[in-house]
Amino acid sequence: MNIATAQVRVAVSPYAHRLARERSLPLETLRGSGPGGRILAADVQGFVPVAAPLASPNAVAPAAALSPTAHRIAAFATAVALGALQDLLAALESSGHVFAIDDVLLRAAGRAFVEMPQAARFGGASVALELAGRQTVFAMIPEMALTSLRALRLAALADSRDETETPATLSLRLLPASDIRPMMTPLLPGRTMRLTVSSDTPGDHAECLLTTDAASVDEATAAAWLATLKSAIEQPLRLFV
Amino acid sequence: MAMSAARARDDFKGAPNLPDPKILLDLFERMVLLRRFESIAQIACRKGETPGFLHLYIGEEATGVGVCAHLRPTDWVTSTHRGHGHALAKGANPGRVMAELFGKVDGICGGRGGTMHLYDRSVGLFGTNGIVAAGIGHAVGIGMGARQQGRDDIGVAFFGDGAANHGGFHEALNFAAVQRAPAVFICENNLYATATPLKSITLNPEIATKAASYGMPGVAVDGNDVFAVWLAMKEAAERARSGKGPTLIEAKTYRTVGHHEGDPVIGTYRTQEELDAWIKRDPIDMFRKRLIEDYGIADAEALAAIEARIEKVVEEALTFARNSPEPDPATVLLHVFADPINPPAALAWRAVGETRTQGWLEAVRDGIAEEMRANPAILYFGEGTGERGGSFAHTKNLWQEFGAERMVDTPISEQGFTAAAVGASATGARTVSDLMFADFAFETAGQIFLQAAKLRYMTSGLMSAPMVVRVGAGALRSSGPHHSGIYHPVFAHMPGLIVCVPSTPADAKGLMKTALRAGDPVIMLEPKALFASKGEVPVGEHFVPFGVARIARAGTDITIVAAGQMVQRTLEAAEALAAEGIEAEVIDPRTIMPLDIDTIVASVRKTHRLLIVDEAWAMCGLGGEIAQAINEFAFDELDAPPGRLHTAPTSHPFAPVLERAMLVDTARIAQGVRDVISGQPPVPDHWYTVGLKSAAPANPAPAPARSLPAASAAAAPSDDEPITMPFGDLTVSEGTVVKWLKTVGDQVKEGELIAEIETDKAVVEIEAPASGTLNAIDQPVGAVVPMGGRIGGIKK
Repeated sequence: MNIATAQVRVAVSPYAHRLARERSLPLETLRGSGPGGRILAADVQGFVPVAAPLASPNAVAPAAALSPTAHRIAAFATAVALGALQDLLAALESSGHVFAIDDVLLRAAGRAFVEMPQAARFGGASVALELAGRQTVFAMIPEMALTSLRALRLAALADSRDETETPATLSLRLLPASDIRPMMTPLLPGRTMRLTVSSDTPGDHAECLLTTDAASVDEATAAAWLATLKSAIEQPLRLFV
Repeated sequence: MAMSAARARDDFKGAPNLPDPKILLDLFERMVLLRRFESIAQIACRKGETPGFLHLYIGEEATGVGVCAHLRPTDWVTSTHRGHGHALAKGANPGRVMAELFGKVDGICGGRGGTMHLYDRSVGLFGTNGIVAAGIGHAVGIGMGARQQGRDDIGVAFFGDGAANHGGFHEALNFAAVQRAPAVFICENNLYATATPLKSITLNPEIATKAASYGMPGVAVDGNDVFAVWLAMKEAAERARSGKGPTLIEAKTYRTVGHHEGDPVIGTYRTQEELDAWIKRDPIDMFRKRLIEDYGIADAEALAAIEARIEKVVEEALTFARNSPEPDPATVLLHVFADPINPPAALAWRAVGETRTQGWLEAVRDGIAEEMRANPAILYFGEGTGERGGSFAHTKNLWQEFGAERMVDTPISEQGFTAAAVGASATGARTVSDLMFADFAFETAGQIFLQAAKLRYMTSGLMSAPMVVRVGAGALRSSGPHHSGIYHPVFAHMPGLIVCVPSTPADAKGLMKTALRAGDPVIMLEPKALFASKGEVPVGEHFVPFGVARIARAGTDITIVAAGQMVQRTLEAAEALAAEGIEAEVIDPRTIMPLDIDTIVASVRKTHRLLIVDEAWAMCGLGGEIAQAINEFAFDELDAPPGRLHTAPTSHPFAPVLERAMLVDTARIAQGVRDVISGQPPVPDHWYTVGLKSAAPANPAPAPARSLPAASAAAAPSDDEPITMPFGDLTVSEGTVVKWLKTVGDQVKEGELIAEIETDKAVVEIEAPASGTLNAIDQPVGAVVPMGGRIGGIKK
């Protein structure tokens, strides 16, 4: 079903792998010069993007093709360790309290808005959860308890309500678990921030990409907001009390 | 009573005067202590309270007690697998010995040693010993070390008749005799080496006569007569203490129990008649009778009072052992090496000052001489290293400066003098055991691996053997199969051994000086190929710490780890590669154990490639070890698979052309570097030379082990004393009930035979654990019972 995971294995040296990860270079774009096509460090360090639109002196059309807001989009990425959270969820589950990572992410986003209120200057501390072709909005003022969040989320999944037009600062998109790192996602209409989350297949880490409208959210604020979110998920106990 | 005392004096007219009655009563009391302690330990062992199995001293008490009565706490005894009696006779605390048998934290070795490894520095107990004859040479070194330190303390070795046919016995006695060592050798001849009769394994079963081979007195005594032993030891101890040399005493005795607890008393090798005859000569009963009837210095009541007092002592010992906590599992890694592993001198900061050019041998000689001047307790044992200055001239002039007492020329008895080095170094002296060639270390491998390296751990850090084993190592121009090996991975495998492979005269001197101040045994593998090399050596005090690598050449493209004579070959290869634009970083670890992995990891973080060049063989070797360490610590730094170059997996051939074909040389190193950089490292030959690829049959899956019925002791009601299949022999897992001598409802007395169980080894007689009524037979005749399993119960 997922063609990306069924691909032929790419041989890559551990060091080259690390360098590519640090540079956010997809291994598929690299050509390996080692034995059997193994990608080596030199292949990553010497990588020159091919046909990069802005690198071409003759390119006029590509700039026009960009969305009108593209030039004022900022993006921030981080990897969040999920180990502590998974342990906590497992412990809670064994005592009969079931929560999903989705619930915790909503709660953590709410927490980040409480701690970084300037991020929510436009649109209030509400979060729109992106579902298939629609959104459902959770008001986060002041902070909603996890059990309520979960009940609301399950109810929203069950009905077909679309709250795309309801005001919210942030839209939250959860990608299916895969080992793919989101590189760029566009902002949704009416949202000044978008958080895209993709956990790896073992569920140890999640890659989080925050795209913001730089005109609405100061870059330092956005980075601090993302750091707050990361910290909240990595030390999850505080979200449950 | 007065009459019998007078008669005793008459009887002893020809013998030396009777000693003070207190001495004789002490001998009696000590023997009772040994007997009662062992009897209690026997019961604890049968109940499964002691984790291992025990070799009991029952029947032989007169020998240990008679000998140790002449010893001070500062004298040392070395002992055997059957050594609880020696420990107690030497004065060890019964409660703490019992706790050690239980593996408890209050044991004399903190639970790390156990029954066959009982050491106690405070009373001069140098270990019961799991290795036959291993302790004999220790006593020689203990005596020589005490003499060198200006004390008249002596070393006394206990061993059995089995040891008298072991090389350790012959080497130690010969070395002791020629050195006039302050030592006494006590052979406890109980007629059987485990189950092998002495007369079947030697044509000269008169062990005392073997002393003549070495030019020392040999005395045979009745080992069940404590006073006879006492008299023989009195003379031997005085002789040793006064510098007249060692004595061999053969004490003819008998153990009236099995070889170990769980082993049958008679077995297939002894007769009931023989056992009965010796029981009639029980050392305690005989001495009790003589004290009362012949010497008249005590009556039965007085001796019974002594026995009652001892009964209390051993009961307290048992309670103490039972109540002592288990050792903390979190401490399991402690006491392998001294902490810190380096002596203070090696860690002190020194300004880098003046240097001078010196040859390897001269530099190391200087280091040894400096340390021998600083520490008069250093002894140097070696073959031809005295007046002749060593086979490589590696001890030239040391004999002239330090004399024959310290630069000891030894017989070719690696086992004997290395054992002496262990004994001396653990008791206040320091020793170098110079074995000439690394290959020869295997002649005394047991002393290095099993005695020296394990001593600190066995004693929970209370003792250690800081000796230096010095050998010329590695290939050098057709030295052939028996003079070319280096073997450092073999030594580094052993926890507790420090392994040095220096590559420059300065490092060789600095490591030797550190080794002579260290707290642990050090094996110094000096590459013979470098003996003719020269280098800059710091003038004045110069120490090289263990576990600190040297960056022999800085580079950016690949890390090469090489030690010993491979360092120079690697530096040559690095120069050749520099011309090709490859800058290699060369790391010389200097010590293989401890290994400075941090420096190697830091280098790989810089170069992202690794090649290990090592003179030893690849199988289970340094290349695999370091490469795996990089996987563990710095996997994400590797841009190519690590490579390893080792000496080919063959013995060292004599023909120069063959030898060149097996050794790693500069050209091979350069090619190995190119191969690693190209991402295709060299693969060592050992995978291809085993010849098994086609011939090996497929292994059949092992049959699952038959499960045993579970022990059911837990189900017994509280007033019911369980009758159990005794523990004891760890090689037997179960037995079959062959006979019940009682039926349910019978009255039984404690100790009465009630059942027989047959194991693979013997028929085990089951005694009633308490007096009462046999109220249950849980396992009928024919039932298979696991060790420790309940077979019935007695209502008290």
